[in-house]
Amino acid sequence: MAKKKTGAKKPKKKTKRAPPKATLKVNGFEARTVRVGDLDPADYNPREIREANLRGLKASVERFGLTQPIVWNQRTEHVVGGHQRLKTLAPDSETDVVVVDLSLEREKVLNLALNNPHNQGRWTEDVAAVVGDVEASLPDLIEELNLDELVQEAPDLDPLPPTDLPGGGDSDSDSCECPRCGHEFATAGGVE
Amino acid sequence: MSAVKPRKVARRPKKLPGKLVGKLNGLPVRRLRARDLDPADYNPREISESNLQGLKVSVGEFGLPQPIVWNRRTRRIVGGHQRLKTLAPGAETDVIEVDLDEAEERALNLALNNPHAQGDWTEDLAELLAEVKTTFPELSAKLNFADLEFEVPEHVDLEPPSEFPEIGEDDITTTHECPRCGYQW
Repeated sequence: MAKKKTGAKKPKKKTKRAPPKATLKVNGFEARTVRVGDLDPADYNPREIREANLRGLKASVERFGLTQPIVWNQRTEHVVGGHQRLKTLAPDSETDVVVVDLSLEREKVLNLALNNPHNQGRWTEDVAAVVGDVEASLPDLIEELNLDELVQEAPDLDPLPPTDLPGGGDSDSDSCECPRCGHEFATAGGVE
Repeated sequence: MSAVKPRKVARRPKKLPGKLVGKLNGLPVRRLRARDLDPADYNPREISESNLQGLKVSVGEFGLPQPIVWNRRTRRIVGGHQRLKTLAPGAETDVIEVDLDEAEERALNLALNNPHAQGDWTEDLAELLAEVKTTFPELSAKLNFADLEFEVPEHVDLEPPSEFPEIGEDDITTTHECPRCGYQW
């Protein structure tokens, strides 16, 4: 019996390889071009985004590009930072990611660190003026990117407590006013 | 001896600092020194000392996987004012270069800082925080993760608790009593 020939007519696998090019390093990290559909979100990612805010993010990415690349962990193949940005991209498009190489445990720390709003600073009261500046020349953009909401984020301008609260335990005052009948009386070193 | 020739020193040399090293998502990446980056004077952001310490720990531990965004036209930082504070002036850093007018630059500054566009925490934050704090207690403390515990969205229970405590009038502590009407508060 003739030996069965194996693999003789196996169709040649077309290996599709990206043309080799010098690897770009950004702040020491390798940058890699990947298909958006190949990026796996981290299943533990404790973030979500509302539809209106996602539309704002999409408008921002369309207008300005992805100025902050998605961060991707090659060891777990998870997205570490940029889960919402990922949603703005078409699955069959390509994007450049910054590649990190971390254990799953350390990846979780970086996920939290990148999302920690406190370590990103906080708004000052100047935010209203900056929104106003942009509104004057680019009113449509303000609306598209939901930037008018930010005016509400300005910290309270008046840090002093209201002065007209009913007198209760003023340490520097010896007199007290009853909140019910308005009778003023001296507090002799405290309360009975 | 020859006299030193007076030389005109332009405060702003026309040449852009640093050099282009490539493109990322279609935007140029420029390698320059931290001191070449001007903060935007209008930047409506600030950071507390303890949070800056946290950011410094994060950059020391993980590097800067999210580069600073810089506008070549105004030479100002658009995103990453706090990250800049973590770098030594002479340190080399790679920035994403944009080319925007004043109004566009301000819009991008706001957009990059817009907390809503970054999404919101889910209840899963509690579990992830607990896990990370167990695995890396010291690092978690240095990164101010304790602050994040306040950000866990409250689980909304539609049913009121079955044992709702009753408060009697005698349980309320008062510090004052009006000598005229006897009202206590």
